[in-house]
Amino acid sequence: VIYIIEQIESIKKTFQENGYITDPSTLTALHLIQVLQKPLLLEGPAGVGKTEIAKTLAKALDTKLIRLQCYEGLDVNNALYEWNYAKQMIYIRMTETEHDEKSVAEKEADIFSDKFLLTRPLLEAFMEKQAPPVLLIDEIDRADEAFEAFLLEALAEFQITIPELGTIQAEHRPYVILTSNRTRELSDALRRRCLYQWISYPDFKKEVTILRSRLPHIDEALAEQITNVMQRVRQMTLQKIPGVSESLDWAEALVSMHQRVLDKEISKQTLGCFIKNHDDWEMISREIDQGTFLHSNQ
Amino acid sequence: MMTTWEERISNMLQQETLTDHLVLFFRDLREEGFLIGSNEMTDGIQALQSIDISEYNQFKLVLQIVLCSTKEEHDKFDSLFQNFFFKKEKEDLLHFHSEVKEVSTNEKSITENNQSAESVENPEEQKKQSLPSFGFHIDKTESETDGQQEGATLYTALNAISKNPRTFKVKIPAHHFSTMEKAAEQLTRRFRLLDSRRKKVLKNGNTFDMRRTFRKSIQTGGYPINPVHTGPISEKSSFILLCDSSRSMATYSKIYLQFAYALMQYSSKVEVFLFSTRLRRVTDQITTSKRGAFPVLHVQENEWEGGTCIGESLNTFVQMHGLKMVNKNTIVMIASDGLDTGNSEHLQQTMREIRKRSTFIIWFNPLLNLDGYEPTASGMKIALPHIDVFSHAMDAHSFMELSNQVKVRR
Repeated sequence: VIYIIEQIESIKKTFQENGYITDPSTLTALHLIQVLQKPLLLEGPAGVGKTEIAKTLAKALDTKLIRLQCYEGLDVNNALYEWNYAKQMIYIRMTETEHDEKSVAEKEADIFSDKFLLTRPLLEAFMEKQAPPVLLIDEIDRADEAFEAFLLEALAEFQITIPELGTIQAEHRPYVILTSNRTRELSDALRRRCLYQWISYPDFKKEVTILRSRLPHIDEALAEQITNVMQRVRQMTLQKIPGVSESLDWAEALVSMHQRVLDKEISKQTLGCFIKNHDDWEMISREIDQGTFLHSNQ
Repeated sequence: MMTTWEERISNMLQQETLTDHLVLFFRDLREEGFLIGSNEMTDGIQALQSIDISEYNQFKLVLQIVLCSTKEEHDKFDSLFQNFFFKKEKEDLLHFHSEVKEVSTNEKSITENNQSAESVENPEEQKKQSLPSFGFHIDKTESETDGQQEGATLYTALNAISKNPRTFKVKIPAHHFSTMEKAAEQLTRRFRLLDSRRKKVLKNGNTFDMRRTFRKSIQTGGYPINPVHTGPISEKSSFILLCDSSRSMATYSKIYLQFAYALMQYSSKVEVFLFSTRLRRVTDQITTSKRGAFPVLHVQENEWEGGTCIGESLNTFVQMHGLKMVNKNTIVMIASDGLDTGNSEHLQQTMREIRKRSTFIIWFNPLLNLDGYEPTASGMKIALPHIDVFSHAMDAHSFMELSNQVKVRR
């Protein structure tokens, strides 16, 4: 039995070194990816660092990050492979002029060989030779259901069949991380093939640590003040709740303006860093004017 | 907590009951609607073998990550775990033991014959060796649960025994479903949306696509043998039902859920939420009905027959899902009597937001069927200016009437 504590401590340490503050739950999930060799499905509100987990995992494992950004209409040609038809055409025309002795079968094998194959992210991950890469399938909920079904097949066996080349088995099983913002319900079949982790907004202490870790030059009091305000903002009835990435943007903006403390004026000037909706803007502006916005509850 | 857990796990290992406990726990989770099959069970056990099981948090986290597959499951896992491992009566497990022994006598004798005579002293080894019996136990329990789904609302046995927060099983009624299906089909037809100005490749498209034809001709040696045509993307309307499940509405809510289930037969874009003092997404529970049976929803005590905070609940919906789910093709249906105990300002703001984003809002209020009813409840008064149709529909026939009256062209 390999005890998890050492494993988790090692993941935690490398994540911290790479500027990502995690919690035990996420660390355990990352440990289980390795133990069970199953994909990990991360769900949570926008801006809480789902994509960042995959990026940091790749850094921590010192391996390649291969990203597949999903969108409506994404198909196999854009996700898996495509033949480079233009290059094939040029090759055919060039070989027509030469009087070589190659048979039709040999010519066909030439045309459908690796050099004419355009590898897309999934195939690239399967063909990685050095070490198991981290395959990030980002915003899977944006892809069509047909693509989701195709993905099931690929992730179940970690092998892909290309009619002209044969079956390609993954050299190393990639660490697969899928992220979703829940714009639509994913199929049960896909969910069952994945480990599941819900990432929510961090608590006060964790958010302060994140700010200080990502922006080492930030004043401690300012980091606490920003976090305090952001925690309060997330309790308000806004249309668009700001995430950690907005906190970081705001903090970075304030640091670049050499601010050491938050006040009414500077809050109003930098509101656009974390408020992205007109109604929310008006509500926060009103609170700033009334002097209740920067009031500390901590 | 740690000492207690260590004692418990040590007892389970000494009495060789850890596997049985886990099987029973998996069964309870399945009754709660978790997607757990034999693969998940094997993964759960395999994952537990890679950790120190005397660590309470690790034990719980590992099972949570492996066994949960949605946020809703993730949220309720903690309490289910606590209830099972700390509050469940011993008699339950004893009963389970006798149940398993009766059925699996033959299998056990075969297993014993196959195993070597040497005794296994290590509890971990013992646990691993008992793994093959998992599938067998679960098959037995599954057939039992099917027989238990009688009646419209049932308390689960677990909660009745342990006096823990109750979980309700809400069964979607089957009566007059064919009429409800007709009404749903009719309604989906009444919402006709104009085709998008964006185009996509279509076999019978009306526009010749020169660029794609040339691109495709590369495959055929430069000869445009396969012309490509494009046509407009047809827009499909999506439906969102926000159903009030508070005490005053619980009787009617099942009908609205039945309507949503009927809509799902004709549209792939239907989302269903329950709200009382909090919001709960139940789309996945309605879509995952087994073998054509009517879906049974598993909801917590505070999500069914509780109080009402319409404004707060709808605001949570807008915050969590509004930006992604509500768009110009969305028909939002709200089923509520408007009796609100929450903040009216939230409702005002949220209704304005939903109005702005969606194409059509229908508000179902069963109280409209009462003679002399006036929408004077605070929630109703605020919502009325934002509503397109204020409907009294509360059974299959009135839904049919509604679908004949409504017509939207955009």
